[in-house]
Amino acid sequence: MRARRVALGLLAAAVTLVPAACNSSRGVTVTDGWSRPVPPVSPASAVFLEISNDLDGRVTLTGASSEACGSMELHQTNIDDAGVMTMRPLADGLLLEPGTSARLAPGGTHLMCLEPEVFEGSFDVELVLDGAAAIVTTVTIEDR
Amino acid sequence: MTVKRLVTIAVAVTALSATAWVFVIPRLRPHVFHGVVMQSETPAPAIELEATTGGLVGLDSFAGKLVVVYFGYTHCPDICPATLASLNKALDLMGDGADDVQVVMVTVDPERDTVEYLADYMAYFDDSFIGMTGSMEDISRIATAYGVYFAADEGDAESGYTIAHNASVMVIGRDGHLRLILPPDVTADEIAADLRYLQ
Repeated sequence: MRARRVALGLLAAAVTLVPAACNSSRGVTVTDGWSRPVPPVSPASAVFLEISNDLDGRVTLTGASSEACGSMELHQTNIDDAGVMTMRPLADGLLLEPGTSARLAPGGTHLMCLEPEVFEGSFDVELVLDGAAAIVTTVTIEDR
Repeated sequence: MTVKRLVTIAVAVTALSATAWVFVIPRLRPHVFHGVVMQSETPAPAIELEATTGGLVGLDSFAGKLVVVYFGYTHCPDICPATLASLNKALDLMGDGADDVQVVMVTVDPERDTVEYLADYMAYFDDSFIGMTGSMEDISRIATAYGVYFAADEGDAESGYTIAHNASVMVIGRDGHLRLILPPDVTADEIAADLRYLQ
């Protein structure tokens, strides 16, 4: 009976710790994925998140895909002192030096979701990385 | 004077000071706007475009109301929906006062933003929001009159072309004169506070 309890305990610990170990061994973490609600007729929306690179080498976010989007592109919004907003694709991706993180946020870098198909709840996005394995993160649609 | 009387006076003075600090002094402070205040002596440049409410609509249709004018477009994924959402929240904060505010988005992308498309897009944010479109020539003329720059970028990405545009929010007073230009990152609270003051 006691051996069974120990075995169950070890199993529970394994279930808890193994995925965590897998995540940390990857060295790149993605958190706080969100997207602002847009009208269902909207041809585009923006996805924001925070990405950290704890690897020893450089990692570049080169793109993303999602079943909730016809396609996705990495874009950079800039607003100058005159209030003029420009938006351009980040052709070279978003470089993360070792030990650094980046926040994709309104008015800055974002993943543009073209032809969005999900307008409430959440959806998964796969981030394509150069220098690390792809990561799937969940994006919550919320009004912030 | 007894100690008791001194204590009573001290308590009364403290209570009066607190009341003045909380309720009176804030009302005496001048309102601080969250954008650039305009003191134009001439009426705001005319806007007459095809509106989502049907037909050609001009600013005179909103006489007596504050008119919030934004130049944007529906393919804009970041700033435009954020600004329209903030305007919607601001109107919610204003309660009944929102009845005297008209939000108008003039598209800078008339090629893709048809009236029908704009109608669906704007209604998502607020039933009262109006979208306006017209010929590129008319929109360019109006935008220039408001000091709004816009230009399509090359459409090399799959997303097609994007449009660089001034994302400021213009507020026309009840007298029809341009009163305020709010920056793109203005919050709903700030918009509501300024609109309330202008009412």
